[in-house]
Amino acid sequence: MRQWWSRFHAWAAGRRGIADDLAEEVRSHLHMETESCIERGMAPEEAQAAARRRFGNITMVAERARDAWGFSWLESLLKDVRYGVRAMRRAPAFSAVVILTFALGVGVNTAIFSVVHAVLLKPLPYPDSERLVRLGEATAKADFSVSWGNFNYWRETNHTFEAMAAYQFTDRTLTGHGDPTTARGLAVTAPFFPLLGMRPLLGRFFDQADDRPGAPAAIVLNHRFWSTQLGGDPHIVGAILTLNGTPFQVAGVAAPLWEPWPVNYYLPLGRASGAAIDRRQHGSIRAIGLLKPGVALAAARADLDGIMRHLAEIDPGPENDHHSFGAFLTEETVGDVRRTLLVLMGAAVLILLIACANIASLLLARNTARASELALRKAIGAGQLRLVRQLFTENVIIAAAGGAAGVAFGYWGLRLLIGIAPRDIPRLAETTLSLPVLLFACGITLTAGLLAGLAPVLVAGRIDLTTALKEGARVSGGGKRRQSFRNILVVAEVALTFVLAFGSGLLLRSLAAAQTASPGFDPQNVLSVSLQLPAKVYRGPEAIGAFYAGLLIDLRALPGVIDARAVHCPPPAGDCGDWFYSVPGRPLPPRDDVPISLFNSADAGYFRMMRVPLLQGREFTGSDRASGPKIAVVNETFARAWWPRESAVGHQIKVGGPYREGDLLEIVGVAGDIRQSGLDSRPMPEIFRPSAANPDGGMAVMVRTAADPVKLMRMVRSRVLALDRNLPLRQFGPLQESLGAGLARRRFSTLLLSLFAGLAMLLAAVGIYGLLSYWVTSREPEIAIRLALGACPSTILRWTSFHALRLAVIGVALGVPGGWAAARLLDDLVFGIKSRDPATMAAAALAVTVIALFATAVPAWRAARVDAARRLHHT
Amino acid sequence: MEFLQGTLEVLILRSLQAGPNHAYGIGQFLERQSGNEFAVDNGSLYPALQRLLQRGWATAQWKTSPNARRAKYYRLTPLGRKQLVEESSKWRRFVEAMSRVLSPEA
Repeated sequence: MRQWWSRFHAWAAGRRGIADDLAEEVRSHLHMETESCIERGMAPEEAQAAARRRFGNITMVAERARDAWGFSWLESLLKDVRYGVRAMRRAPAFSAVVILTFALGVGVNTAIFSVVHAVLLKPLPYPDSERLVRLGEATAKADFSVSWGNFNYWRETNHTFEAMAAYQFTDRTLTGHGDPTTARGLAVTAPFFPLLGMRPLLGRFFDQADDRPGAPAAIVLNHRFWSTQLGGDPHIVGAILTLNGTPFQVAGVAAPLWEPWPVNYYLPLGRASGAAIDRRQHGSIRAIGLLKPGVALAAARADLDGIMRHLAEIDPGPENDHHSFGAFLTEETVGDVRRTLLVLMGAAVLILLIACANIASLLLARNTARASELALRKAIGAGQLRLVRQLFTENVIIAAAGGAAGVAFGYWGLRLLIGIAPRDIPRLAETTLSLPVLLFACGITLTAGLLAGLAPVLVAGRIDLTTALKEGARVSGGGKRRQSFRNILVVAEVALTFVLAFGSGLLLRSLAAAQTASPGFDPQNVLSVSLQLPAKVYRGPEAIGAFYAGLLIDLRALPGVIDARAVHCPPPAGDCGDWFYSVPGRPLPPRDDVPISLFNSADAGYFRMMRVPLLQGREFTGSDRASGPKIAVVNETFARAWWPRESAVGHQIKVGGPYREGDLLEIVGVAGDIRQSGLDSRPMPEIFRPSAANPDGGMAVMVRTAADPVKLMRMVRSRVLALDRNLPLRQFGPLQESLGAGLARRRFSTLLLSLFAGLAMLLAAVGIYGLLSYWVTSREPEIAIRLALGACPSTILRWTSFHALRLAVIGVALGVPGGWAAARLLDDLVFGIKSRDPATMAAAALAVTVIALFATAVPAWRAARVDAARRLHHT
Repeated sequence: MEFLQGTLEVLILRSLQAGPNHAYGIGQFLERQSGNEFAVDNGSLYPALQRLLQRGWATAQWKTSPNARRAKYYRLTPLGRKQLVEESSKWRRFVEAMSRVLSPEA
């Protein structure tokens, strides 16, 4: 410590002072030495010379003494940096290529990682978000809602949660503010707001008094809804909003906060559901809970399971087998985006590795070209370590420049990414280049710099003085080892590029398959509109039935309309409701393993209108009414699961399974599968019931038109509003458009991965080009001799191309196992083909090989045009 | 004879025990005391003196020598004296151990 201080002190006091002091000390030393020599009888001049001889090298002594005071490592580092910058400026094209390659690798990784960080890694913006869990009931087959009764038991008797809140989605129609609109809301219990750390911007949130049956109807507005739909009225608190015909008084407006379930408003859940006492009465209620500190999720679930077992004893029923479901909210909100993002991150890392290989190869080539310079420096006394450090510093400077450019590139890439990404990726819009992302960028820059810089430095450490100096004059040199090392790098690049090309090929073919996949019906010229009749206005099945019957008759009468039919759950709406069922006569399923199917209801003639093939039996007709026999049409997947070899028609289905109440339905027909969840979804078993027997206020009206359905949109709208001018039209548009929109995420990941594969090919091409042109240069004398001995240029061309081809083929061969492994990661994203599709693999191999040969073209052409006479003369 | 690594510092400290001295004098002292066995290389002596200053074992001051010549005099500090005692005993033990191992009757 003291030593450092005194050194620093001296350094700060000025090095000149130390140098002067030392010089004077040496002078006085020499004087004394001279005087002692004179005393011994020498002549003055002779004595002076003897003293100098005895003293030794004056400059060196002074320098070494001075160095004891200086921060010599720092100074030589600065010298290295200066030298490195000068070396960079001397070869601007080379530096530009290396920095650009670096920027590409770092930029791609920075952009993707910032998304990964914002979407997957960053905690949700709630207090104690890592302790928030989403809760529900579950059987072995599926998880679903918790009943209001059970939720209250959980809330009151658990020992593992600090707080619990229930929520339930609700769609209601707002009237009295311009066009009627259906807005999504969330009915919540009072603790919901503090659990998510929400704050009121205006007014207040709900309290216990609002959350009880019979309380005055209160509503809390979401900030976005308030500012866009309601004009941001600052005096809105206390105003009345009419939802589904019921007046609600505005209690408050929530301050903006990222919500896991974006909705427009909040209603008190207890006011509507609080009266329910039967704990078997489910109403799509879910819950969130805040774990007590230090409680594991498994322990909390065991706690709730214990409560469920206790309830099963004191209040037994068909749901005795139900236990609890719980998952961390952080994981829940991310869902299946995780897989997509991890695949993209993996691809980005591959890009970085390819970039590293390229840079290493470039640096190696340059150091080979500089071999004579390095050898000269070594010859005049630069130590091995000093030389290695010099090269290392140069690499670090290049890496730093590349990293900085990469961050800029990453910023731009991130903007682009957010622009093209589908809207449904949570928290993507708020993604920025935050501090952790910048640290990550620094980290990968450093790692990449070390990786890429290591090989050339290691090789330089073994510079053979005599060979380098001898060979230096000629451009060749480098030796066999360096050449083969560069070959290895190119082979690795080709292998990695092949993996990316194969992966993107799989996704491209999946996208193509999904886009051309048959949805199970003919979506051409179909207009779809979803309606939700408010229960307040349309009381009872007759009113609902009458409205839809009237509307459909009106629509069918429109010119250009071929047919119009209604269905409860239209494609690609997904899962509008699944429920238990069983097949009488088959082995009784265990209580917690009752099968589940999608349930839907459709008009008579729906399948014909949608052009869904009817495989067995008949579809619904006008005579299938509520009063008639209870019947069903099942889809092909359902029929094949139960009756693979015989007709399903005539068999029975018990709704609700063997342990619950439910109708017994007779199967009258089997229809082809409709891909309910979108083009790239797998068909699920589905049971249709005639809508006449199961009237529902919420239906989708499908209109088949003779020509472009867009042209009929105005007429359809006016027909609907003519019947009820307060009815909002939702998801109104051509069916083909909504089917296409369902592929947005697939398109996004395919686009990005293809972009990455393209980048990889570009980088690999540059790498192969660099290697080959260097190879040709170093073999020019050999080529000249061959030409002089009578080889034709085409032989030389073939010889050169063969060299590149061999590397490409080895690379592809090594890449195949990598592709195999990558295919497993892509399994969930692949659609319509096998994830180990040999055709795609062959195509990727071909593409990579062609690119390699393409990159060889220029150097090979140059090789063939070597002027033998001149070249030989020159040598 | 060359100096063993790390011996020069302790020898300089020992030479200063006799009183303040300048670099030339220290060199003379070491050569004389070693019976001209040690040849003091100024390239080692000067950096070693800087190290003593940095570690606070010695201080330096410009003074006029008896024969009226200005010279930089080095002087032991209490810390340097302590260091000398420690190092001397360490070297003595080392030398004894060496000679015991190398002695013919071993």
